Amino acid sequence: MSTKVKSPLRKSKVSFNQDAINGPFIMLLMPFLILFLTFTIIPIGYSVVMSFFDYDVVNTPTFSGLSNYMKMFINDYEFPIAVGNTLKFALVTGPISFALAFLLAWMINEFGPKTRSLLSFLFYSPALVGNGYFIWQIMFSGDSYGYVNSLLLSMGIITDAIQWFRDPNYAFTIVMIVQLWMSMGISFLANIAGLNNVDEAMYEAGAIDGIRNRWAELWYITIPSMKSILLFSAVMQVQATFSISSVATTLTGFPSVNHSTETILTHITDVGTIRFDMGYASALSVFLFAMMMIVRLGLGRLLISKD
Amino acid sequence: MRRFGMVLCALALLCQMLVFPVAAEPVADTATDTVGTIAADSATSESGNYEQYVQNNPGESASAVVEVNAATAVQKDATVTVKDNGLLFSNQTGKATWNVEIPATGWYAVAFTYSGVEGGSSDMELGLEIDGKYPYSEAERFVLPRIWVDDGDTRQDSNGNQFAPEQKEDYSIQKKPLRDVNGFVSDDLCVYLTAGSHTVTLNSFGEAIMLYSIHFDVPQVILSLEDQLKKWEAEGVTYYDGDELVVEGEGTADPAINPNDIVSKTDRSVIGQSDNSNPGVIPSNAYIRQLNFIGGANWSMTDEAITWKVVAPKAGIYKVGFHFRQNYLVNATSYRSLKVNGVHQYKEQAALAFYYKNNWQFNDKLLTGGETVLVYLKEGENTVTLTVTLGEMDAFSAKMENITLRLGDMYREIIAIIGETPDANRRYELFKRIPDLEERMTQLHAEMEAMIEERSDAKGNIDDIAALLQKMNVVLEKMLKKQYQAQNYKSNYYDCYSSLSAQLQEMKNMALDLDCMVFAAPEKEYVRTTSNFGKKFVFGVERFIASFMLDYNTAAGVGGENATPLTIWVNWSRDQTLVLNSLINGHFSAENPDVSVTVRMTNASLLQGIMSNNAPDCSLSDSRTTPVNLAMRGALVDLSKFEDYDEVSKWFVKGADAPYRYNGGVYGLPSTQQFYMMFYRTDIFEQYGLVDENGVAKPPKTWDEFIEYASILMLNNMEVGLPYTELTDIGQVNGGVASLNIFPTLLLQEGLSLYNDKDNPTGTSFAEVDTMRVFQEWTDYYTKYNLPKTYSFFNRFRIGLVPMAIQAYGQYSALSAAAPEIKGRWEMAEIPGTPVVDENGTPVLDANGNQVINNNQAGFGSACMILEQSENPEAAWRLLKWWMRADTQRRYALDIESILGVAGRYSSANVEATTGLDWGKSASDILLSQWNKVEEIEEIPGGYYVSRAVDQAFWNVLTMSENPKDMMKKWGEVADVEIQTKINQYKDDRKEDKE
Repeated sequence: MSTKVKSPLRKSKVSFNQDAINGPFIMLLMPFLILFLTFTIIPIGYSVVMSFFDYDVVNTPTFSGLSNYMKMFINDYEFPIAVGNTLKFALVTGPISFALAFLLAWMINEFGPKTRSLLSFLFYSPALVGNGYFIWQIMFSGDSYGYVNSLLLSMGIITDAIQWFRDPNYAFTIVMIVQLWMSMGISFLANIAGLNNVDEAMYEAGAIDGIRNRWAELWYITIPSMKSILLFSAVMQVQATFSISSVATTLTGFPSVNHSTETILTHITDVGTIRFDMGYASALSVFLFAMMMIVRLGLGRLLISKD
Repeated sequence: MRRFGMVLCALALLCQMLVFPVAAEPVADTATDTVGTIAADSATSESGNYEQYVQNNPGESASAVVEVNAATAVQKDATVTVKDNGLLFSNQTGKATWNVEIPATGWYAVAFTYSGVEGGSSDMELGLEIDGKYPYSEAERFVLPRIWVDDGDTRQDSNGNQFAPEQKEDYSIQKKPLRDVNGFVSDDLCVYLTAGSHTVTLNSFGEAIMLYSIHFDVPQVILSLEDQLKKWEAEGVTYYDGDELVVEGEGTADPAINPNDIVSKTDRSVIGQSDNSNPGVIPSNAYIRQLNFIGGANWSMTDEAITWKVVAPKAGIYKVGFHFRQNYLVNATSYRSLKVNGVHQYKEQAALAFYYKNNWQFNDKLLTGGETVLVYLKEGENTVTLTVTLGEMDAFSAKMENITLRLGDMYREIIAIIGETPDANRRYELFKRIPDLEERMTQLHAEMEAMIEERSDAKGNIDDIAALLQKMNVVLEKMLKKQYQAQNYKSNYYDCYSSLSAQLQEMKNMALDLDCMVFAAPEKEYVRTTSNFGKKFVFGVERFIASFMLDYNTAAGVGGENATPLTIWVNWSRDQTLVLNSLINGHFSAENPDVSVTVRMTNASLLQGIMSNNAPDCSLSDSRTTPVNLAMRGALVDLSKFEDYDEVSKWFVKGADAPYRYNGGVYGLPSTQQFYMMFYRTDIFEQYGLVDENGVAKPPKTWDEFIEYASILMLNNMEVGLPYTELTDIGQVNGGVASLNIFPTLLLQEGLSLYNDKDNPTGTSFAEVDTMRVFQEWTDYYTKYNLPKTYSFFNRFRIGLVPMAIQAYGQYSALSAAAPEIKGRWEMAEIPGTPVVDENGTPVLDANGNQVINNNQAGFGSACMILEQSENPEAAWRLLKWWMRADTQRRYALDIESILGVAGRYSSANVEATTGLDWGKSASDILLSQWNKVEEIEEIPGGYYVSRAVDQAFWNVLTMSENPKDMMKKWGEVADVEIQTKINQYKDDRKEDKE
């Protein structure tokens, strides 16, 4: 779309000494780099290393080779459940919330500025309230006086209070719904910003070139011009669904009945903070990290390759 | 798919509910509602109330005074003894009767001369009978308050932060009038006596008191302000014209400068407090916490009084300005009665109105009609008393309470017929099955209509309270109109009813913060007033700067240079930490001058401290599983190595340290200990015949009886409760399985264990037949008998929907403090047990031929410990010993109660400290008896999996209808694997250590 103009800086680069320039550049980057290294890169590296050790927090770690990974794939009956649940969340909640975030943003963008800001505020509010999902706890309380139970009881649909969160039949679905409710986060806002940035001229050109309806406009102009925003949004959604943890534990208990809402992340919390098995927890995090990287790369290919 | 459909369906309903929240039809009840008053039999028993009594006895005031010496009682129980020219009622119920010769017919004001007695700390409750019966219901139970004074000076931590002094009881002789304990009658109560001989009887309800005499005085005649001013003028009293006198509410900082000080109060929790938000609240300091006002939520119940002394330079009439904050009752008034030298000088002093404002205000126009408060002070020392009163709300509150009581009774009667979930289409014939229902409803409706009228102004605008009444009335109207569908309004009824009773509680709660009272010359301006914007701004800036300079989280010790440093971590609130620190500074440091203790408030776990090599020396309160978890990793000091450990362990019940034992060592001292008790509503038990041969409510002794009781109560649409806590976060797993449910208790009662080997556990016992059977019995309570899994005990017990429940004993304090309306209508008992059988299965009998019942139970609680990283374990041990000692624990518990109120009572593991608190004799006996039957369960490596396995198996049985035995086996195996892994992992470590 946009023609690449060669930057004058880039052109003249050859005439300078490489190191003389990089030095100040790196100095300028330092504040960020230091923080990034200490709080992101080093911990990731550290957990990769720790995943080959036995470490119970108090005593000196002992090298144990691949035993943590062996345990993960062979010995741990919770692990497959956790991976399954995480994938289920990712496959169902991820795409739905991604699509919802985009579609809602697209629709809201059609309104006038005032309505638009009001509506975007409304849809963004679940993300704003942070731990607002507690409200679901009250609604789906297992007490016969809980909102949903009380309502269903009084309408005669059920005869006994349902333990929504403690019943594996319902727990997973409810967490999924709550997650969807909360997912209108950053990606939704990013989508709105992205829509505003699409060049009006393109729509005019499209109209002249024979685009007849809004769907075609969406498909041929809007989506292609928003590719980078969409990738960003998708990555955020995936990350959100992969890291479902506190929602699940707060609502359905820790551990949930039959591990029905156990995700890799809750499993890591369990292993690390309750069983004090940091080595194994590190191995699990490495697995989760790898899983997220693969999905991220796949997404990139899926969305960018059409270029 | 069906499940998903179900959820969707629920969701759709929910959306509907959210979109139309104002719809009049069924609005669901929430479990979180605050629900107040009710009881089966309303408080007005056979005797009428005071109002009726006054109407029935028109007559003149008495002209003579009669004083009865308490020692002259003609008849008395064994628990009442003559002592020092008075009568000593012990802390058991007792009764004494006097013969009184009344010289002339008329109204007499009743008053008592008494003093408090050591032991116990709640107010003395008595009942007054005249000629063998209560003259009116208010006399059935009245209170003579204990008097409290500051014990010593204001306490400080090393940073200069102040903390209220300890409180001690003043045992001097008091004279107090007979008063309505509810405050519905603001005036002192009188009795009408004919000339001649009468008998007067006092019943004590089990709080010790020394009674000297009973007075029948001439009721005081009080003039109105206008008349009183004329009278003063006639007597030649002048207006004061000197400099103003300031009385600091919290007491004076320096008696040499300001002699006006606080003298006494009727509640130990009315103590000086600190507000840092306003420079006008003097003394103010941006940097440290200084005590600068008194009152708050702890000074809110009727008849709670504070007395100050005021030294007047000259006799005369003073005006009084108050610097106060009343942001408790929004758009409403908190009332105080004002007495000078023990009397109201004029009528209006009976109710000073402190109106709502979000911030501090200075005001002297607090009399009705906005008149300035005036008082006459004599030269020299005067006393000024402010007492909580319902003021102008008294009669209305009485009506509200009466209405709420009746509405509550009616609700329970209706529920008994239609149940919790009535069928919308069924004809319950409610109005036929409760024949007088229509009449009662109509009557209630009319009364509420009149009350709404009373609360509305000339234009017909109504206030919040009237709006609630109106809502209730609408529901009643609908029920009366659609009699065959009345059950459909059940939840509306409940909603309106619970907001009414919540409102009633709020109305009676007259909190107030008082900074100071200023006695000034009526002609002059006040010098001390509230602060203006400029001052507040400067103060705000100062506080902001201070926030950078202060370390709010550390309270440093007061030790010399060479003192051994000790660090402790607590994750308590600031108030609690301050108490701890002041106790350490005041007591521990005095005993151990060579140790300097630093208290650090932190959220960090011990684990984080150990990882960063920055751990404290000891921890005072950590979860039950922490000691073993850390000990097996070698992070804790073995306390049994200290030679006096055996002595120390005797402070706790036998075996209280069992969960902290690991591999032959002891790694923690019990710090708190909790256990279950049974709570039951005596009124409801009596109503349904759950009584002994004397007609007194009788709690079930065995589980079989428990189920019998349950079925009777459930037949009448009530429920019974067993404790069950969902595992929702990490902390709960760490509390041990006994803190979550009663399964371990049931096992103990059958002589079984959670673990496979009592002495050397290597796994669970879940695969054993007996354990499986007990598990099935436990789950049967929920599946077969349908007990509620989740319910809000506190609210439902108050309404009476759950009249019998097993709960942690801490609920006793919560109920006695926060549910005054059911006082005397509930009891606490030991939990049910299992009959003991011998090998042949025949029941074991005791010497009297009664069945022996084992009602042991598993306890739960927290521990304190010393870390291996500590450089001074010996000093740390001294600190632990000091901390868990009875006197320290008792002091701490009392201080905490002063701050949080009785509901926040601390459950120390030290038996002497806890039973020494104010429980009342009978409650403390029951507690101690059950406490001695607490058998703590050991904690083992990987033990957290036991709690989980039980929980998993439990829910699989409940929600998936799985076979209990299969589930027990399945989840037991899972737990065993984890336990085995942990045991093996640390077995090697142990060997290494030994080598």
